[in-house]
Amino acid sequence: MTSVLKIRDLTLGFRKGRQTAQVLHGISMHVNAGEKVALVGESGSGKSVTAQLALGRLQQERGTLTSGEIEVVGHDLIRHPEAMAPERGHRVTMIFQDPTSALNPVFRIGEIFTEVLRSGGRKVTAAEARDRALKALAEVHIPDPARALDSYPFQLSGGMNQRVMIAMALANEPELLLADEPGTALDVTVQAQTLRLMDDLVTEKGTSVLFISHNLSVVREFADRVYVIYRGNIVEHGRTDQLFANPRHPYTRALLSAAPKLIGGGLPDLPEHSDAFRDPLIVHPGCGEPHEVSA
Amino acid sequence: MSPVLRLLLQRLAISVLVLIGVSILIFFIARIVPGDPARIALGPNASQAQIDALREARHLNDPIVVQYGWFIRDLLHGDLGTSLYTKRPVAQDVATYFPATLELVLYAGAMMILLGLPLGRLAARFQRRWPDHVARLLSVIAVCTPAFVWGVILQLTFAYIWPIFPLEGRLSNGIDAPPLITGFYTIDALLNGQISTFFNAVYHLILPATALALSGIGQTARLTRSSMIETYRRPFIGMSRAYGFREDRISRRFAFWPSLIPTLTILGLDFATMLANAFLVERVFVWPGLSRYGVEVIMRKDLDAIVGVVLVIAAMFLITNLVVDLIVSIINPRIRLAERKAKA
Repeated sequence: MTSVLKIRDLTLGFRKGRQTAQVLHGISMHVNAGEKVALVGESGSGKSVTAQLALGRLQQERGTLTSGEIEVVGHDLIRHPEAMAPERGHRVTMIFQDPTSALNPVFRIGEIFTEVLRSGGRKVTAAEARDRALKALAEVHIPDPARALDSYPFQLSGGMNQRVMIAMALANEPELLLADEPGTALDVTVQAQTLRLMDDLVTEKGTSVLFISHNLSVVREFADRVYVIYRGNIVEHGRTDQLFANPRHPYTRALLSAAPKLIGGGLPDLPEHSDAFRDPLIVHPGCGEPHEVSA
Repeated sequence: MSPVLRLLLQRLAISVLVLIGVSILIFFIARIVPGDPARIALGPNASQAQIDALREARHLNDPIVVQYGWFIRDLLHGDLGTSLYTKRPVAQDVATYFPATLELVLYAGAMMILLGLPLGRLAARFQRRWPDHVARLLSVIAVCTPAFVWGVILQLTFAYIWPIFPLEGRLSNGIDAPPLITGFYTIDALLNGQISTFFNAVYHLILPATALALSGIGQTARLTRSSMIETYRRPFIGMSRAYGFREDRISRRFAFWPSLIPTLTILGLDFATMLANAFLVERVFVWPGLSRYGVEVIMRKDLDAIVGVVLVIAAMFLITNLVVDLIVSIINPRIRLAERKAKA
């Protein structure tokens, strides 16, 4: 099986003056074609930087130190992050936390959409762009696509904007969709609806998804496999059913018990840090990295 | 009523109130300043009888509030009074001198926009790289040096040591002013098809307009830069990059327009301030403008003329602000469409 995203022993550090802040300590993960994989952890654990690395953006900034391997849709992004430039918005796209702030407030949805379709220097006529945008918006069940295209983001609800964002993310038929805490800024019900919609569409199109989240209940619904990340280290990796049925790493257990329960029980008392959270990586059977399997 | 029109009318009403306030303020301040305008106007050899006659003719012996009443009565008849210095109606003096200043300021304003915005945009795009360092250095130098110093420097360099531009005035000797239509020599010359007069007028405008514009260019560049850097941190720019929008397109369109909204309001004030700053530049370049006239009449305590000049400059401030508000409301869809959203 081919992997659209392959990460091996990836480290990331930010140099500031003479000091280096190490953010990722050698993580390995992969996303196969058509697979939905979740990367779960608390804020600051290194989830979002992983997505930025997968876009090839972070390693081009000054003061960023990387080592290891990261390969996205066949490009070696440690050596040639610039190779991602024509792929962004096409073979790899992204969905964000807050759709309304991710859409430019002084441009109409139609203008932004056209730019998305034309990104990477692709030639698309205005009429063609409008046509494709209308189809994409209809696909995400926006009631009046023509009106949405002529609207500004602040004229639409958050849920509508998230649908627009999903339509933009899928319009160019990407191989990999990076969903960075998608819709976290929305109402829970709206978030659930838009996630369901995204799930249906990616399943239908066979798009691979790297789903970045701190919300375990959402992950459980959505992902095929789960990586749990804690302070720049992957601590547990397994199929979703394995991981939820039998969480073995102390940090995963803590994360699971932190999820609020419907039947009360008060707020769980969790340590901010425990030495046990530093325990070595636990891999559930049948879930190893491809290079480990073949080795 | 469209929201833009309503905004315009609101601002217009406020502007009228402000003008009334300014007129009261400057009317009383001009009269409280020590010195007898009649005595200054008539010179040291005038007899007491002459001075008394002039004071009586100009109602200067009436209580100040009554004088204001006379002023308002004349104003409502479109009469700004008569200058004691030029002996002509103030309205006529303003009409003579004001176009020269306005032409100068408009050219300087155009330079401010056309050079300042791109400079700031480039600095923001190449933040902390050499284009940014160069742009910032130039802006700081431009902002910190007063306009009249720029005037002298430019005059020395480009009119004296290296005489490519004329030293002073609006037109060269021997070239007649074009027939009066707008009072702008460049426009009047074009309207009359006098191409050589047009180029001569532009040629004379370059140095004073540059001197006047430089600090505004620097200020514009700095404002644009910081506003754009702010915009670059917003999530929608992160989205633009994640979707592979070209960095150049982001800089020209997607980051530029949102950044312009906060910048423009301050630019409007900068532009209006140039009207007030113009008098030093006008002095240096012997430019027959309103600001120079204004200084002249203040020195002579020429009451009606002072009030007239201040009112015209205040009106220009208000008009500039009005225009800026209008432009901002056009760029910013939130204002333009405010009402439509409320209905939906």
